[in-house]
Amino acid sequence: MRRPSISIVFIYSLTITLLAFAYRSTWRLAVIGLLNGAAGIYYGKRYRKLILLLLALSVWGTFLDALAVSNTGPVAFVLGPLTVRRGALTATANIGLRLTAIAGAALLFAAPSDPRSIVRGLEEELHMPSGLAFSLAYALRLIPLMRRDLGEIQLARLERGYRKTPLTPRDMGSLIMPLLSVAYERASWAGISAELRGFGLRKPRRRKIRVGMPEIIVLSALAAQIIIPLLLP
Amino acid sequence: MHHDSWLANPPYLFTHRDFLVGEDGELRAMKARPRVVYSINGAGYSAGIRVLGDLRGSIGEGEVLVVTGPSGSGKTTLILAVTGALTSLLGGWVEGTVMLDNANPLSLEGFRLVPRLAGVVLQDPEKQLIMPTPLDEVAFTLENLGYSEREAEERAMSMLSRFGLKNKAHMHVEELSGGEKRRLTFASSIVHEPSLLILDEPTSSVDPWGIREIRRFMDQMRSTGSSILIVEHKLKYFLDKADEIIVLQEGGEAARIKGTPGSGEIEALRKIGVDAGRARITSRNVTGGRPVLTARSLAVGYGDKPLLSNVDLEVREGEILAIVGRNGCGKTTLLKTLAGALKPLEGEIMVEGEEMREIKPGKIFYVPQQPDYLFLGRSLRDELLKASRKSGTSISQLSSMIPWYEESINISPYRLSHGQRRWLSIIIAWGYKPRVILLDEPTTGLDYKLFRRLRDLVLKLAAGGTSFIISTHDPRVVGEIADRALLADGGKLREEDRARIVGMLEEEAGVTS
Repeated sequence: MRRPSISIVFIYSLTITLLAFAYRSTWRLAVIGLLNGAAGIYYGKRYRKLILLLLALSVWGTFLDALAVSNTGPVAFVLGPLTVRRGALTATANIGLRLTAIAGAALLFAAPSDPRSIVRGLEEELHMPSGLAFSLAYALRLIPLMRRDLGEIQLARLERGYRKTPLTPRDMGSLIMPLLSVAYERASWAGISAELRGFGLRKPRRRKIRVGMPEIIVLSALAAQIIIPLLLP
Repeated sequence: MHHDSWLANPPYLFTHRDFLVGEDGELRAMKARPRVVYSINGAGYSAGIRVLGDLRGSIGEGEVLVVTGPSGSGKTTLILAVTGALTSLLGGWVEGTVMLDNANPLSLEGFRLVPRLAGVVLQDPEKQLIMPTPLDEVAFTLENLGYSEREAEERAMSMLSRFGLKNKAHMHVEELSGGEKRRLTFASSIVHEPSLLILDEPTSSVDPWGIREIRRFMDQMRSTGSSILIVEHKLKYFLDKADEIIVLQEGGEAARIKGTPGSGEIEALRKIGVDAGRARITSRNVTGGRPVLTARSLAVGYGDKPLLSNVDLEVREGEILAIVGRNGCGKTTLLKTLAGALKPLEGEIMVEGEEMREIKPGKIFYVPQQPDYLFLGRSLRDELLKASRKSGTSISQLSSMIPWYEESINISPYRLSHGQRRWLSIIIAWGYKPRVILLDEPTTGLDYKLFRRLRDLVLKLAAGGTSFIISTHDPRVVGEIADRALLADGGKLREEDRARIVGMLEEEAGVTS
C-alpha cells in the first residue's frame, strides 16, 4: 500500500496536537498519548533514541516543577524528606502524556517522509506558505545533526566531570544551551543558503489532495481518537 | 605583472581603472562583459556600525577574483553585500552600487535574480546542506527555479554523476565524508549553470585532497567562461588561479595584486594573517621526557570494522604529536578511543602505567573540533568557575591564561570569536591537568595570525609538561607546532618526517610555488 498523502498526515498530526491541549482528563490524554506514542516510536525508529531522551528529560523536568507548584491533595508516597502528593503525580502524568501524544504524532508525520516531498505536499496540496513548509522540512535535516551534537556534548560533559544526562533543571540548561547555540547558527546559514539557491522564487503548482484507502485509514484513526475519549470520564 | 601594494606606498589609493562612473552615476566597467561590478562606500549588519568601508572592483567573463584578508576583515560580509543577502535577508545596509550582470542585488527585485545568475558555496558544508539526501539537495535548487519534479531529478542525477556522487544519491547526507559533502555543495550550487560562482572560504573544512578537487573544478568552470569570486585567507591555494587579488583589512582595501606576489609581499601578508606562502618547518628543543601515553597493537573503529589497526604509539612528557590523514581516515575515532570515549577494538592504551578503559579527564582530555560542545557556563566567568570547581585549578590560574579575560568576563562563551572559543576550550582542558590533551582539527577556520596565537599557547603549555596529540590536515600544524608527525593511510599509522608530510600535504593541495 502506498504512503498516505503528506497533507492528510499533517492534518492528523496537527489535530492530535490540538487535542493534546484540549483534553484535560488523564484518561482522555492516555488514549491519544499511548496510541500516538507507540505508533510514533515504532515508525520513527531513526529518531527513537533522541525523542525518548528528550521526553524523559521533559517528564523529569515537569515532575520537579509539579513538586513545586502542584504538590497538593492526598499523599501518594513519601521518599525520605520528600512527600509526593497526588496532585504532583497527576500533573506530571497529564503533561507527560500530552508531550508523548505530540511527539508521537510529529514522528508519524516526519519519519516516513523526506523533506522535499513534505515541502511539495504542504505547498501544493494545502497551499501552505513556502517558508512555513520549508521550516517543517528542515527540522528533519536538523534532527540527525542535533543527535550527533548531543553525543558530542554528552562526551564533553563526562570529561568535565558532569553527568552525561542532566537531572536538575539548572543542569539541563547547560546541555540545551550548546545544543541550541550550534543549531541556531546552523539554521541561520541554512536560511541564507536556501535563499541564495532561489527559495524565494518557488512557484508551487497546485494539486488536489489525493483521497484513497491510506488516507481513509488515517482519517478514521483520527476520528476514533476524537470519539473514544469523549466516551471516557 | 602589476602590484599596487600597501607595502610600498601606504595607504593604497584606488585608481578607478576597472570601471568608470558615468554622469548618470551608473557604473560602467572597462572590462569586456563584466559579470560583477561593485562600488561600495560602506556596509554593516546594523545601523551605524560599519563593517565594510570603501571597496570597488569588478570581475570579467572567465576571470577569477580572490578577496583575501585576516579573520574579521569583512570578507564574508563582502560576499553577503555583493549577493544582496546582507540587505534582503539579514537586515543590514550597503551604501553604494552593485551589479551582477544586469541585476542590482541591493534591490529586492534584483536580489530575486541572484540565484539564477550566481552559484554560492558557503564556508561550512554542514550549514549549507539543507536536505537529507544528495539527490534532494541538488533537485531542491532546480525546483526552486521552476524545473518540474521529473526534470529536476534527471538533471540532479546527471550533476551528481559529474561529481562522483551518483552511487550515493539516495544515502543520507550524514553518511558522506567531509570531501563528499563539499563536492555536494558545489553540485547543488551550479546545477542550474550560473555564469558566476562565489566561494566563501572553500578550503576551510576540507583536506588537501579536497582542495585539489576544488582547484580542478574551478578550472572546469573557468573553461566554460564562468567568472569566480573567492573569499579565502589561505591564499596560497589560489595564487596561481587568481587574475586579481584584493587584500582586505578592517573592512577596507589594503592592497590589490595582479600576478604572483613576491616574497616580501608574502611575508607582509603573513603578518596580517593571510597564509600566502608555503608552510614553514620549525623545530624546538624537546628534551624527551618520560613516556606518558603508550598504545600497543591498537585497532579503532565502529562495529567490527577497524578504521585504523596495529597502531603503536608513544607520547612523551611535553611532546606534541600530529596525526595527519584524509577526512574520514579514522583520526577523530583514534582520538576518541585514546580519550576513553570509545572502546578499542583491539589492543591497550596505558597512561602513566594505568590502563585507559573510560574517560579520565585528569589523564587525557579530548577537545572537539567544535569548541562550543565543551562549554557549560552562561558567561566566560561562569565557564571558568565551573571548570575550577570540578578541576581544582583556581579561577585566577585559569583566567591568567586568557589575555582577553577581563574585557570578555560577562560575555557568553558562545558569543566569543572563533579564535577565542578555541583558546577557551584548550584552557578548560588544561585546567583539568591532564597528562595529554587531544586536539581535533584545532586550526580549522583560523587565519595565520590566530594560528600563531594558538601555536604559542600550545607550545607554552607543552613547555610546562603537557603533551598534545593533534589530529590535522593543516601543514602549518605539522610544520610549526608538532615535534613528530604520524600519517594515517590505508588503515595504518606510520611515522614520517615532518618536512616530507608538509611537502606532501601542500603538493596534494596543488601548492607549487
